[in-house]
Amino acid sequence: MKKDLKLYLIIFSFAAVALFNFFVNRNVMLENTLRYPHPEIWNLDRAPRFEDFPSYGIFTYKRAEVDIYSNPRANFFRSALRHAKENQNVNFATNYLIVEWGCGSTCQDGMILDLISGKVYDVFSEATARGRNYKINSSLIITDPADDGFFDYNLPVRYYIWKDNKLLQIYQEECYPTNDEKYLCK
Amino acid sequence: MNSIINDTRRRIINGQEIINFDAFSGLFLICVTVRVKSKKQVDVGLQSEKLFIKIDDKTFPDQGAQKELISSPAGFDGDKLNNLSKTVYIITFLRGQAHTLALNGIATLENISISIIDLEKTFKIDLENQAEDGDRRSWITVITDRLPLQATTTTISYARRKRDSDDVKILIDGKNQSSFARGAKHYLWKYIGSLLPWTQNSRTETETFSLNAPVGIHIIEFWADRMPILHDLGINFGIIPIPFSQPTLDNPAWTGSFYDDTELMLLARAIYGEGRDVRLGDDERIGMGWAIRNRVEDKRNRWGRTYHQVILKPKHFSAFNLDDDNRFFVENPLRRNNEIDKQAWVNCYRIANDIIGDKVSDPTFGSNHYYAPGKLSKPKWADEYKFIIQIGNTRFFRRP
Repeated sequence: MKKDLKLYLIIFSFAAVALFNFFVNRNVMLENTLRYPHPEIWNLDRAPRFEDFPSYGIFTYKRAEVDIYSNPRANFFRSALRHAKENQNVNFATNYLIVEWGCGSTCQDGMILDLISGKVYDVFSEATARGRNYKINSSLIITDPADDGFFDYNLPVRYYIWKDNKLLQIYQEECYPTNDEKYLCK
Repeated sequence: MNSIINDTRRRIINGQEIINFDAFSGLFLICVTVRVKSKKQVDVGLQSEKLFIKIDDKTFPDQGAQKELISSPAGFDGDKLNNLSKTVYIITFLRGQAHTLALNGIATLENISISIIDLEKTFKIDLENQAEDGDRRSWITVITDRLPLQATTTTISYARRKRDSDDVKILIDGKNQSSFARGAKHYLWKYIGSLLPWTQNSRTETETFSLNAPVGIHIIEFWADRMPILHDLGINFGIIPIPFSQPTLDNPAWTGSFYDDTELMLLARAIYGEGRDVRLGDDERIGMGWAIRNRVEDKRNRWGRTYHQVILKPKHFSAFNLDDDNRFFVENPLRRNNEIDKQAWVNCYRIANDIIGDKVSDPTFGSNHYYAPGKLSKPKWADEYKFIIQIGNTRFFRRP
């Protein structure tokens, strides 16, 4: 009887710790994407461009091992992150790697990997439908970009900058229906 | 047969009309119906109307000046047709994605249709085409390009009329296919039968012409006198040589372009890329395949008309994204050459075959989107579209 009680207590404590971790980390993840707008960073009428937020430098460090404990979801996607670390070139803000994977039809999920520290940042609060645009020499990320102005998914185009390991939304373009099943974003 | 374009808008072509179409490598049936006027029928001072066809800069015959192209069986010459409609069917292999059909000249376009046809030994065109009333002239031309020609079967209806009855002359590669027995039989029906009022005024005949012609351009011409009806035309190609090495179930490595895949092969790749994970059940894979098919069959054509257009649309099926980990596996599902991959690939191919062949019903009830909840982030559209069903760990949605 006592043995059973001990077992139950151990299971219960493990479950409590797991639940606590989940909620705390989830809140941390959501806080990482801070709320728009940020007029102190972007107060112009036009949409930001990559050259407005340059990221200088050339990545010459040895790539750090992926720290899968730096983020609650990182462990789940460790294979994709490790594969990307080994095989992909730096693709964002000098020393970061945006690693993306599919989450369904018209659905892209992803995380940001710091190649210097190995830390993983789970900062994209939503999966995208039209993907993300980013560059190695800029800290700007455009989600659901509408490159030619017309797309068949009525999602806003959002502009974020990567600052202090957080994504700050600085601008948003709304998309409006123009003719059958097309949208104009501005 | 998968229709890509079916344009029945009657319009005048003055100089050139270019029709661009997207498809995938395969055998195409292109049909053009045109009316061209003779010099007497156009305004004073104008030349007679003429037209010739070009497909991806290929002409029929292969070489020749404009004059030769117009007077060829694939051309339209107003002086010979006198404003009577003529239809040209071209069956040809086209490779790659983007193609161009150019109509050069002056004419009235009545109909244009482009379809992809299955690579089968025999092919039948249901025509039900009645010739307009006129004297002997070119009526229907069928050109088979880079294909062998074993035999053709035609079903034609003739009617006995006052003064002159219906007549059809069939030329294959320029050679008249009439024979003494066939001619005599027709003559008896036409002239002797007209004296016997109890005999039928019309008759339908099915005839087969054996040719055993090798791979090349073959031209089947139908010349009409008065108003015969061509019901259907069957073509037996024999063994169709594919002019490029198309991926197969056993050797699915891509050629460098997914447009060289058949629709079945591409759907199998998509299911494999999206649902290769061993933890996924077949029901989920069938659901994913059906979500793709539902997009192809969407009445509002929001994602594309063909499997290629739907699957290869950027960012829609991430396994095809250039930087996606799964891209390696869709390019060559058997890249790692292990038994697990092989089994999964064969299974995905079978599922794709069942979906295209209607052997499995749609478990998603018309869904056209899906995503896997849990550790993956939720897409924004999941809040907007109608949730239909969850199969395994995949949630299916329908965009209204």
